[in-house]
Amino acid sequence: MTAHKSGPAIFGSLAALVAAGPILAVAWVAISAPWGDYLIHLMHTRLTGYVLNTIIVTSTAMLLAGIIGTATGWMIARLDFAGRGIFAWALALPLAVPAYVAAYGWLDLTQSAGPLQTPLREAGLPALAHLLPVIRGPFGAGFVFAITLYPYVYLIARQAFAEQHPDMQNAARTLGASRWRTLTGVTLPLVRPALAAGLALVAMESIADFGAVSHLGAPTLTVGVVRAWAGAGSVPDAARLAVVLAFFAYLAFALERQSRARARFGQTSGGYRQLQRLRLSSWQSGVAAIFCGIPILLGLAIPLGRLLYLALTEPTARGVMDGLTNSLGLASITAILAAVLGLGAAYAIRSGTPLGVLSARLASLGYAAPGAVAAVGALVLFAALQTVMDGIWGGRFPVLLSATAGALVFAYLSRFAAVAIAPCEAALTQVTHRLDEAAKTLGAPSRRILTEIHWPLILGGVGIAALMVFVEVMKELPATMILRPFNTDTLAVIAHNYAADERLGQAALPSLIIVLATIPAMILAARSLTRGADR
Amino acid sequence: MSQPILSVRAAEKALGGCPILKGVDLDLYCGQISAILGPSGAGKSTLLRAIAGLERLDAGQINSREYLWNNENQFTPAEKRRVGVVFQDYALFPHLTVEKNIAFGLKDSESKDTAQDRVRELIEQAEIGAQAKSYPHELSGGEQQRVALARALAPRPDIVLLDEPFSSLDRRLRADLRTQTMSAIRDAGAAALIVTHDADEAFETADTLFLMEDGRIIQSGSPTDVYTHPVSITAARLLGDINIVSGTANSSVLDTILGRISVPDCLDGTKLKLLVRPEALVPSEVGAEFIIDDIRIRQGRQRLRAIAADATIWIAELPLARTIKKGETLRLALDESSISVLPA
Repeated sequence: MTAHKSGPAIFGSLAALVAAGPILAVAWVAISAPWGDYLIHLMHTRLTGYVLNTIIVTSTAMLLAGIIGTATGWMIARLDFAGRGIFAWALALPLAVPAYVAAYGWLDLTQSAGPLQTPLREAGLPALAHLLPVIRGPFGAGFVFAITLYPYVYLIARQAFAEQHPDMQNAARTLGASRWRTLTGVTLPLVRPALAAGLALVAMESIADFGAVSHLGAPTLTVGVVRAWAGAGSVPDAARLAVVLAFFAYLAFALERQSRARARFGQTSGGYRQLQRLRLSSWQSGVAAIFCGIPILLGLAIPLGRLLYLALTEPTARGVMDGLTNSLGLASITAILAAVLGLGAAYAIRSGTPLGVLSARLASLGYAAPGAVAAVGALVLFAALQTVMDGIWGGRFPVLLSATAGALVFAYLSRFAAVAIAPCEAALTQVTHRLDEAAKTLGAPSRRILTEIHWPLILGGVGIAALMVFVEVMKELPATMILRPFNTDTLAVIAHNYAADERLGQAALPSLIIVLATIPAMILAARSLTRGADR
Repeated sequence: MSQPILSVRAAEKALGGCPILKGVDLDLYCGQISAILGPSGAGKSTLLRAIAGLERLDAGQINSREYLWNNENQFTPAEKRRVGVVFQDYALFPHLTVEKNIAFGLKDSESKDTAQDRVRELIEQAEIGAQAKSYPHELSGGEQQRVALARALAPRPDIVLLDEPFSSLDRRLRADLRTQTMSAIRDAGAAALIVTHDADEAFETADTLFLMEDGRIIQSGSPTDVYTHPVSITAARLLGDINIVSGTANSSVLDTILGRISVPDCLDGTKLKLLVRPEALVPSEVGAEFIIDDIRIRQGRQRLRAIAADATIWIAELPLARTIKKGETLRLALDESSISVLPA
């Protein structure tokens, strides 16, 4: 193997190591460490609840997000109505709202002391106030995940609907099928694999969340892992819960991968033809616009509006500036490192060597590991490293774990390097081997091929990759809760701590800043992801 | 003929354990256009890539003038060979304008001014002046092809390789571009090698034709020669339809339904195959009788399916001038100058 080919494979292996390391460490500790009392106690008491909550929260989220995402995706792809162009991208915006932020807003609005119930009660209608639903518990959490995560389904569904060859419908119609039968018999079955892929993403995010479920009182397995570490201080117990958690996450991940592979059969072959969108009359347009507006109201406008009101009326929280600095710093460092790893892994895939491809594919597994699992894994690995280093240096080696952000960045990377691989890989597909060869036959040495052909072509994709990781780190909560160095709170942690103390007014500002920092990146990433789908 | 500018000797190459080139010999001469014709999978593109320096041979040799490019121990990489290549999908750099694509190969070899002059000259020659500042995706297929050729010719290579350069263009455009491309290559004075699976294209472009099948060159020579005197049935079929008659020679004569063909007497008693191109069947008062079963018009000529008295089916090609009806009886004879006799 020449140096030219082994270089990418090394990067790929590194990415695979970073991604797979924590999970393997978790599994190893779960098996080898002695069983603690806490876990035995837990199995008798809370474990069933954790598992049950995980299942209820996830299935509620998948069901609702599936309905919202499929319906809006179909409308944007197939119908033409007033405001369609704006809704096309606005429908993706709720993805910029972390589920825990939406949870703060919704619970504050609907709780018994909130602005909806209080007036009714004061007006002497407590029975009516009692009828209003309160967004809490596993079903409330499922609702919050649905309205913030449905864009995953929407974006994939929209693309699948738009790319379907119009002759599919035409063939069904000429065979005598009604509009309804065409929709249910041809159009929907063809996009089903794509929908499943989107739903799997919803499931993965719901399973991995910590902030929303802990705020809404629906403790899932992720909450269990964080409590085992933060409350009981037991790494082996946290690891054992993490294994159960990882099982659910990988179940969803497997579904996603399988669905993506199967989604190919729904794709068009042969010539692409512009799909004719069905033009709606003016009143139909109004109905469509209202329908598309509802998810944006629920996921973005209402919770953020409530938080904005709170931020303006309540005293400002302390430490927000420090939190912002910490968040920006951690997000930037992780984004740059992840982009480098992602690009390396993408080159490994491109090199086509078995080791390179395998390791890059392994690295993409990291995304399935919930933050809590990655964090516990990083704990184990860094503790082991500390022991080894102390042995070599005689106990005077600097403390790795609690004093530096190293473990935290490592955990971020193990989870989000995979996020960076996909855009880098997509960018690299533009750089065909044929282009390399053309440049070579024109006398260009490798260095010139890299700087003048590769770099300009992949720069955009690498930028998107870094941006996506940046956004993820800004929002991240469970891994940060477990691994943050002493006195280093991020915006997400500050918001969570205030919200946990029922001080929503103070939680509002950091929450809003997270959303503000996320939205521009969101729009960019969403546009690049669906480029060409919305012509 | 002068010294070849490129010679390939006993070239062998396997890809993924599967032998692709099985001992290929080939020479290219300055100012000559050669074509490799063969079915897909014959190894044409691999041979071209080996010449360009994009693949390394497992065995054999490639020499250019006095330089050794490739043998068991030595390999000159593509960037050191300066062979111009027009790729099948053109491989234009998507982030560079037409101008910059063409200038890409000129960077270190020439000064900035001469490079600019050269680019301008090529843009003019290729008639793409209006698109000089455009990006490849804004060009039509034909324009992309012209840019790809201009880019390959820019560094004035001695050898130009073209891999199915017209395959992604529609028929009419293809003919026009072919003429243009060939004259540009002739003006450049380079040795050109075109890979194609289209017999008409090979005839129209090449001075020398190489027929390739299953990793070997099975015949080479001038297009006319190769067409009328194929050395094997496979070679014959690569270039178009062929009628095949078997028989045994006796006293220097092979008896066929179309009459007697004289053959060298050394072939007496051996089984022979007679290869007859559709054009070699000509109407004649003394010919054998055929019943015309089907008539198709093809490129200004008519192609007949004719059934002989012994029920064998023949394909004949005649000028359109003569009106023939289906079911008609027609007398056809052999034009002996364009038939081949091969041992069976």
